[in-house]
Amino acid sequence: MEVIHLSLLDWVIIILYFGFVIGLGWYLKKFADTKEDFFLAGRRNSIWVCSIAFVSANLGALEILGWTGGTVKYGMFVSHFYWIGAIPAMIFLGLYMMPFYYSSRIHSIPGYLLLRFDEKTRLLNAVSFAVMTVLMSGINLYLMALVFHTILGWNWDLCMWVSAAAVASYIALGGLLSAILTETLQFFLIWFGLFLVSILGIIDVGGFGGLFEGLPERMTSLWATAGNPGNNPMGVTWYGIAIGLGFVLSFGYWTTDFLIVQRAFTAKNLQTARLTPIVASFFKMALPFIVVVAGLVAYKLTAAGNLALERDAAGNITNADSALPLLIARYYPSGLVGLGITALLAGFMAGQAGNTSAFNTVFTYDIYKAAIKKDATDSHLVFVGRLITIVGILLSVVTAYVAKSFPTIMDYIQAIFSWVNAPLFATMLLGMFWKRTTSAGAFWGLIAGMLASFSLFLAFKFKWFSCEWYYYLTFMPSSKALCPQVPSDMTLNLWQAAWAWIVCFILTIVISLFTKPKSDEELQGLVKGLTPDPDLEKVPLYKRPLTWAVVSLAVLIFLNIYFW
Amino acid sequence: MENTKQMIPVWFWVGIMMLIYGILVTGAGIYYLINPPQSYAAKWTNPNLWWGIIMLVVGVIFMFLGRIKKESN
Repeated sequence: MEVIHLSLLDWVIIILYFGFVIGLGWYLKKFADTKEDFFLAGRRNSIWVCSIAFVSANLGALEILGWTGGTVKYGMFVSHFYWIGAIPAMIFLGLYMMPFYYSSRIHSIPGYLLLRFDEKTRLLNAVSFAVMTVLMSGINLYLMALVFHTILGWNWDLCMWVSAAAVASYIALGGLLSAILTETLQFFLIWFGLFLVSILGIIDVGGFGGLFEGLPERMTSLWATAGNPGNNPMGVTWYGIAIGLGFVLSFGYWTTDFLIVQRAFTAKNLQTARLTPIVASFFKMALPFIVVVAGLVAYKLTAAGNLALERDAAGNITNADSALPLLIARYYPSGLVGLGITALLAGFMAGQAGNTSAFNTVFTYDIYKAAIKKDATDSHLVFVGRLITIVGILLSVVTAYVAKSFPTIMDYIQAIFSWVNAPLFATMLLGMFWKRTTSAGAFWGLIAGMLASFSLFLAFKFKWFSCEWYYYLTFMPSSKALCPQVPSDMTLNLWQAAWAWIVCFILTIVISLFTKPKSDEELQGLVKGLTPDPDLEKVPLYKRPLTWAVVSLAVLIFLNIYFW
Repeated sequence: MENTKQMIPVWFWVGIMMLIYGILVTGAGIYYLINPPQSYAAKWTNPNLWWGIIMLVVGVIFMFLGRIKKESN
């Protein structure tokens, strides 16, 4: 199904972007010669660069396409992933965790685990993170080829290799600096390339009032239909959203995923690093105005028979992910089409670049320098970083081809998030805020958490237990009458992460109580209570992280009540 | 560790990209004034024209913000 046709002008706009980012890579090469520059972008970035890069590292084209399609299926519930599922975690990272990350002058999250715990905990996390980034980058590549093949009829292989080559060249040349610069460009491209879809859509359906008019309540509410999983299209409960998404998944992702946290490490000082996720939270909160609005417009147009989304016999929409491309085709004349497609392309490439720059840092510092060549010089490390960038990209191309031949493998790879991040958040929380946490506790707790998550994933997938247990394990015993129908994938995913967190948290505490902790001297600057409180510095009110955190939370609460 | 090499700020790059795209999109908008396009929305509003001009202006502002100053941070 080819939905968009490109004119010469559209092609010019797309090709200009490729030329632009590769040219930037060449320009940045001379600023990326030392290891601080290549891996940390020189620790010189201002709050605006850091926060835009921070939110862009998370904001891929996949997410925009996927959640616009998601809105067609789930309605306003998608906003939970942008609001309660992100903002509290981002604020927590800025206020409470960033001081330990930034002040210990580490290059990576595994680097923190080394200082706080020991070598094996670091290696465990470094290896699992490196594997995760390569696989995610491969999925990103696969889906990109899929999207452009479907909507534009582009050649599959050419699409993958051209974008992989572009990303490999600009990251190998400019390192994290290149990644951050292209993420900043992508942020503006996404707003200028895609926000217009929502604006034209709103005009088309008769203004904001017209958007919500005539839609069923389950499509337009955030919490009003969350009391009973049967009443909302996602099939979740309010406590599933609050605990599974709002606490475990979102804190696990936003506070420990090195790919995004790395952006704050490039800040010029601690105060900027702490403000990074807090300022970024405002950008994050604004995104539903593209994603959810476009999704609701698509839903409305489809219901009125004005948009060609396909339905199966039961009336369910089968190709919801094409919602945004279809809207682009409907509203954009040529020129703007090129801009919209460039925004999506840039989003895919930035997602891959983010994974790659995080991968090369973790591989170089936490695997290569830690376990292979301990006495590596700075210039040698930069060389390894450049080389491993290309190796990482090649591995992701391989992953993309594997995903192409076995599409079901995608489920497994996506489940990795909850294997790696959810338990790690328990380890980090205990490590930073409870000085009694021991290295043995952290290591075995983390392994047990990862195993718990993985085995629960397999158990849910292959139905290792009876249907009632699905409802007990997801804390919805009153809904077990719904058997043999099992809870929605979303619910299973949320609680699988929650269980991984609980197992890691409890086991880490228990083992720590029976093993010997590190001395206070060793933990200076790494643990709460043994680190100077950054809030005691004298800074004007409008520059304090706490001030903006309060504003951000107030906006979050307002949005949730307004769209209740 | 002061670097003698001065880097062009990121805002300049954002600005120049927006300016070029703004010129191209506005150009298409002017063309559509004379030859109305087939696309649905463009029949009732010429989005290329006004959106292109917005991009152009934003591009110039960002290039101004991103000019190299003597004491750059």
